[in-house]
Amino acid sequence: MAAPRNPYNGPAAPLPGRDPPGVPLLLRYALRRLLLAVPLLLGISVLTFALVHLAPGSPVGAQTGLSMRTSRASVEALRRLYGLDRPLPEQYWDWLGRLARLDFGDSFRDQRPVISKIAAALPATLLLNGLSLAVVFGVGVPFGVLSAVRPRAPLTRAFSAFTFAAYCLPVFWVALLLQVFLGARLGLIPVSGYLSPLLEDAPAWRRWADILWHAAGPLLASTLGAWAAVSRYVRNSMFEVLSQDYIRTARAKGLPEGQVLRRHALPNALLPVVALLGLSLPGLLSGSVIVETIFSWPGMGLLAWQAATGYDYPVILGLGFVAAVLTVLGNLAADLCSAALDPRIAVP
Amino acid sequence: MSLLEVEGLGVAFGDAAPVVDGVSFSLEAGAGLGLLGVSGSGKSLTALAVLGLLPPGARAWGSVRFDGREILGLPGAGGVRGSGVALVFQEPFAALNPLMRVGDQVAEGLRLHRGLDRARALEEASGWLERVELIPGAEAARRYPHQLSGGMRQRALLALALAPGPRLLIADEPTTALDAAVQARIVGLLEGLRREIGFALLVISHDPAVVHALAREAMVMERGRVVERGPLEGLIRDPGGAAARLARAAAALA
Repeated sequence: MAAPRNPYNGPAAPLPGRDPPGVPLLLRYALRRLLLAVPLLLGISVLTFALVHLAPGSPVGAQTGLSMRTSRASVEALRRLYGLDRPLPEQYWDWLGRLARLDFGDSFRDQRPVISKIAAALPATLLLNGLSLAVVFGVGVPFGVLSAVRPRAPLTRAFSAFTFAAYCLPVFWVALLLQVFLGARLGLIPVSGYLSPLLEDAPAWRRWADILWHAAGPLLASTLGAWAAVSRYVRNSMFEVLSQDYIRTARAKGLPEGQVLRRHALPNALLPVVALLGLSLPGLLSGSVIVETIFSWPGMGLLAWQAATGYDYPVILGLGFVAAVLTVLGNLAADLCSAALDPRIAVP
Repeated sequence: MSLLEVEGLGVAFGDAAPVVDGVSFSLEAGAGLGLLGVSGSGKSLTALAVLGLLPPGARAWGSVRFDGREILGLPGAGGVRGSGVALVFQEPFAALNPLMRVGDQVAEGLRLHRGLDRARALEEASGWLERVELIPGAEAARRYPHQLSGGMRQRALLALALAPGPRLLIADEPTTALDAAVQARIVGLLEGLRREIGFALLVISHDPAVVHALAREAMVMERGRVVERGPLEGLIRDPGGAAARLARAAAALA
């Protein structure tokens, strides 16, 4: 079986003429995605509007239902005042028209513009969730990497056991436990609130320190379980990457293990984490109803809770719409980041 | 003194029966040796054990001497990886880092083993890509792996392995994932480079034709043990032998 002359020997085929997508392509893609978001947001606006108005009860009932002395006439007057006597499509159209001018209307409860209520609640939520996102990823990612690289180390095992216990506990319960034990019994953290009333005129650094101190409880409650989720996610991603052939190639090259991890394993393992981070962005602004309510943290979550229980339609709709916009933008940001980091993602 | 001397090499996963057992062979500088066997006969694990690249949970025993120095069990296999012994694997689709340009992956070994700076290493990497007929080399260097075909990726892997100037190349099923036409070209390329540079070659395959094109001597593994060794032509002529069975199996498909 002497090898016959190989008829295919000769110069290799020319390289296929493809280049990675450049920045202009990404920009065009982003613009197109934003345009596509308009019909999506319209659909969401119809759904939220319908859901809010279909829910049993009404703002008028919430204000008058318990009072025997409310006359039919004043109920009707209230309905007219809120515009609830008109057909639903007409109300929707009206709301949409104002929305297009970024006018979310006024709260039914205190007649303040919805936009200013959201603006007042936003910083607290932004602070709390920004911190918790930083803590969750700042702790979860390194730990996930560590537990993939050294799965048997005692530190890895101890942390795993702890985070999984925390992950299994419902957030509201952890929040209450923190409040009772760390807050009330031990006095290590404030039980609730945002800024001590006595400090409203204190110097800025003093107020900031107080706010951060108040953030400890909600921060712990909202991050304890999330660590486990993120570190598990990173660990699995890292495990999968470490079993890939290109890691073996890198080791066979003679690279020290540290460089194999840093230059070949980590970038590949963190790609899905970037997507996860992008998907967490909406939560960053929309707030956590449970944690904010329990700790009386004056953010978007508490506002949403008060609006929902008080049938404050304009506030509910405004928050819903803001959340929808943020979700769309977060998804887009995640996709753009992935496309920028991963040359395999072809931008159409 | 041989370039590579393997004596009584064994590999097992945990307490299970050894999957490689008592494998011994030696390879002179510049020589070629084929390692034949069906899938699961322990050929790849033998190659991985030489460089200490066994999957987690596997342990190896015996002796592996490179250039007279024992390297079995040494961390990073005693620093011979890449510079002394290079490896090319079967799966060209998965063997390159998808997030790194091909040129950077070739240059990495040059920077590590030859101490070149980034620009010099990239330049030399482009040259190596041209030598494996990825032309123009500077253009190929800028590509990401997914922008190359399977055969092109296997060429890039050859460049990656050979660029730092190893004295031994272990090619583990270097053409199995490719179609017959591309397979023949890669074998031709490998043969040409070997004649030109003169590195020793351990070629691992289930296909006697591939081994035959690249090495005169061969050994055959079955169930973790070497069952035959000698000049390949002679092995194949023995109709009851393991090598002849492999040849018939390969021919049955062709």
